[in-house]
Amino acid sequence: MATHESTGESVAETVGWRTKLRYVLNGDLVRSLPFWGVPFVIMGIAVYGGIGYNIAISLTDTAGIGAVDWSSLDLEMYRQALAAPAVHRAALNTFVLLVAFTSISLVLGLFLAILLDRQFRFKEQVQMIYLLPMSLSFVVTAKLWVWMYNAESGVINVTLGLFGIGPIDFLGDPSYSLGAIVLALIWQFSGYTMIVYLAGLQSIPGSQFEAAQIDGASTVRIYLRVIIPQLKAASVSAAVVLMVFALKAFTFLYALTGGYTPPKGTDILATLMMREAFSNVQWAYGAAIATMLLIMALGVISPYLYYQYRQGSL
Amino acid sequence: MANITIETLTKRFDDVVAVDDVNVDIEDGEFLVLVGPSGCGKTTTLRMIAGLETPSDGEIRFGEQLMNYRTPQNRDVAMVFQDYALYPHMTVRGNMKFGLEEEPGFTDEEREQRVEEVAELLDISELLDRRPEELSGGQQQRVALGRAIVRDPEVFLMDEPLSNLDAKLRAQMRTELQQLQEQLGVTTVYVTHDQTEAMTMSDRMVVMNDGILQQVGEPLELYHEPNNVFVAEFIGEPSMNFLDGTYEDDGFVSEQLTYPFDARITEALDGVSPGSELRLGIRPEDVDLLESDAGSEDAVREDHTIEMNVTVVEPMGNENVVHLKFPDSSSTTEDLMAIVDGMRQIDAGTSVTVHIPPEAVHVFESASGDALHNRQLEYEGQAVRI
Repeated sequence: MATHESTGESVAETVGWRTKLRYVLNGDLVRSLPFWGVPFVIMGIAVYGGIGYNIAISLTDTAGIGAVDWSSLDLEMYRQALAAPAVHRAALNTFVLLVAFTSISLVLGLFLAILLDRQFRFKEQVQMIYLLPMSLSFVVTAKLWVWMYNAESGVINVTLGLFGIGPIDFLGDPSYSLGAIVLALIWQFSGYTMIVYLAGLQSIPGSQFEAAQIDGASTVRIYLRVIIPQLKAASVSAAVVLMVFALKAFTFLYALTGGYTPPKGTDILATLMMREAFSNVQWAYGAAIATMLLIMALGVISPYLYYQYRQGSL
Repeated sequence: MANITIETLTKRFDDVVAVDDVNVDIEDGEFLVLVGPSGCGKTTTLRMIAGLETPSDGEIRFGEQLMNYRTPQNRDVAMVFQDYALYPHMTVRGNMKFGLEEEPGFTDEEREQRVEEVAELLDISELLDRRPEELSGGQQQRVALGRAIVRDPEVFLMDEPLSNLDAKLRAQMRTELQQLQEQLGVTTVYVTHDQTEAMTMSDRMVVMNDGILQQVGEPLELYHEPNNVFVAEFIGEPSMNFLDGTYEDDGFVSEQLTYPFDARITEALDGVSPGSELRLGIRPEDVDLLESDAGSEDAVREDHTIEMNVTVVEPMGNENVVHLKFPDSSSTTEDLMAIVDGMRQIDAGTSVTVHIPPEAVHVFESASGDALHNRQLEYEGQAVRI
């Protein structure tokens, strides 16, 4: 036995690296390189290169026009941003938008999905109607709601006027503006959550509903105890998509006013970042806010990725 | 505990009649099996008893109480589903406790205790804290059963509960379920398409086809005295042999076979005019294959024998299933099947003398399928199979 082992070892040592190299070159990883390598490089430069450059700039004091001065790198911009009241307000607005928009869209979508799942007539048509806003661009939605919210001639104020209420300047009054924007976003996205939930509902076999009925549970109790707990996966994935959209609500706000200054009371981190960087040319300061926004987005995504990983889907 | 009365029960889905005018009385504590091919309306009937479907017509009563308009929640029934319908997000304990939690009048300790008791009865105590996805099919089946038993309902309803199990486990669960039902004494309605399950488990069975009740009775009653061709064919494995022909000269005549009837049969066929189309039925185990010289021993038997060719022999170990063809037969499948003792050597391709004992023959009217005469239950010279 001992001789066998020793000869085996010496063979491995002498022939080793050639065999190993051939083994590596013939491996799936290397042979598939042309296919995944090109997109990997493009993606790496465009996305991760961009992120890296942004972070690098945020460490400088760059402002105005001129070359970037790399001589002093520090966290000064982050210190300034964390101390600025404007950033606090924007962060709070971002948070309120994120939570209100996500939670209301989920609840509304679930409610609509349950209604649709109860097998009523014209189900397909209704489903289409709710899903349609999702297909619209943010710009179209924004323009549409600007008209509807118009203080003098908007359909909402005209309708409220019939009951003697208003007129209310929804987008002009800071106490309404954020709510008005959340409502418009909900209008656009509740159809999406509905579809996600509907798919989840339809994957639950009908016999479970029937078993719970026979077990004596009322319809409301069946939904609370048997059906909704099984929609956890659907909720998590819909919530992540909604939260990411909430962080990107910049497009919507930009389209509302046609500039980097959104209606009063609705300034979020994304608009603040754009304003600082491109209107005030505070490049480093804007980059610092952008990095903070990125960290928030990662904070939203990473629990989801971890959840997926634990479920074995990653 | 309750007896169930089903009167003129009918269910129509748009213009399809799924269940047509079914009448059955189910006694308190009885194990009744609804059996039939798929689409025969047995499951729809069960679902109407459960309250998951509303009858289009007719009445369902538990004891004296009309159930037609009661929701499933208020019927005090428990049901085992074909796919078990366990709640995947709950543990076994949660699944079994669910029904008790939705019912008022239990403290949490009482619920817990009942779950433990039933789990012990079904030998699933060690599974209580697992989730359904971690269980094998057989274990899931037991949990589904436990969920039904724990509620101590008036009626158990079971919709093909064993159909997802493998053959060995199914056979084991058959006897176990039957013993459980006897022990608990709860009226049980059990749906299956498997006639073996129906035969072995039921106190009485109901055979359905195309939504119409064909026959109700004890398993052996249905086996030996079927009302019609459908029941005769459906019950028994391998199924009954049928030969088509006409009634002539007090006997059965077909292209290949002339079979004289004895007095008992002609008496039963009293009202049948000669020339009517008949269908002769004989169970495979009643078909005798005689040794080549045995025919000459008994003169009476000679009338009822015929030479046939063996096409296939299926050895089962304990018995051989022999497929037989008439010598000049044009059909592609066998004309007759016979079951003989497993130790007996019969080779495919040989010719044998087949004896069809008149005592074991069933006679049906071809057009309606109704039975005109059923076999005698005991007679001399009966082949005793041990």
